[in-house]
Amino acid sequence: MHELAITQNIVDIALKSAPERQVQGITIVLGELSGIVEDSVRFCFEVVAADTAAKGAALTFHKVPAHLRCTKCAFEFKLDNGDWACPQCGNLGGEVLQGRECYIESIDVEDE
Amino acid sequence: MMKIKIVKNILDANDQMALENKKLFDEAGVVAINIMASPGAGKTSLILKTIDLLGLPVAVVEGDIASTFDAEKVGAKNVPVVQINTGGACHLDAAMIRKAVKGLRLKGARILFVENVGNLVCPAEFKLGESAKVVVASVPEGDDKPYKYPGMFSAATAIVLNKIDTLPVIDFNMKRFKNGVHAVNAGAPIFEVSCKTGEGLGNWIKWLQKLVS
Repeated sequence: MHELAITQNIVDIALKSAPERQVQGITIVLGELSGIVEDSVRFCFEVVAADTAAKGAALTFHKVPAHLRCTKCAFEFKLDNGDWACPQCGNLGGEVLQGRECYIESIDVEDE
Repeated sequence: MMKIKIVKNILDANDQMALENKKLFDEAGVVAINIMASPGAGKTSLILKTIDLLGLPVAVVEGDIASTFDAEKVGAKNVPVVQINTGGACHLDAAMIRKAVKGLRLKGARILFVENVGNLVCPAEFKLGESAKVVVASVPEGDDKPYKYPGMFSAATAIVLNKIDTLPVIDFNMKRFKNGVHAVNAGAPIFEVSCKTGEGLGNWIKWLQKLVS
């Protein structure tokens, strides 16, 4: 449900970054651990962007897989289907190196 | 078509507001603690017990989708309290807190407890201006919660495991629970408590006192 608030923020940022221009595309970077669901954002976007200059903008999502560093043996590994166990030593858990991203990378606007 | 580079955190507006809230709390000399849990884990019970045992002046913000039950319970302790009804939203955000604390007597309080909406997903994403995030889990919910909601448990400064008085009658593997917490959050202390019997609350109170000292 929090995707509605998230999507409102996405639209606000896009509109503020290009005042009085038609926003044609928004590129969003989402980490695997960001807790934000692409489909929900797409669904909310239609409602939130209606009657704004971002209406109809194409959404592009760049997904960032989660990478962890084992807290025991320092082995770096990719989170496999939600399994936080280190493939090297079996220790459960790691420091998150990437995968929490949640930002707008760029927007596409019509030429002046 | 023209591409404009932005690279801006989607939650930037909320994060900025949270920073302002933090400043406001610092100026008032109050430490805000964001209490998060699933519905029924015992957030309100923990706050009520803590008020009794802490021996420090506190204020409370109650967040719920609807109703004022929790604020009434806290208000009965003669503690400044304000209820936020989100009207459907599944989490509190920094702007709601800003608005709510305007009507709250913060001066003199040492801790502001913010009871978030019961939910183990969304509240983890929204900073409120707190100094600590506390996740309340409870034995009847099961030992698998840290595995199912890693976002929430990894965000926690501390975890309170409530309802340990039910351990004899519930299949709950303490080792599995703790391993799950430490997998996503190596540093957070886990306080095993029962708000019903009072067991284990001493360490939690000590932790809070240290936090504000």
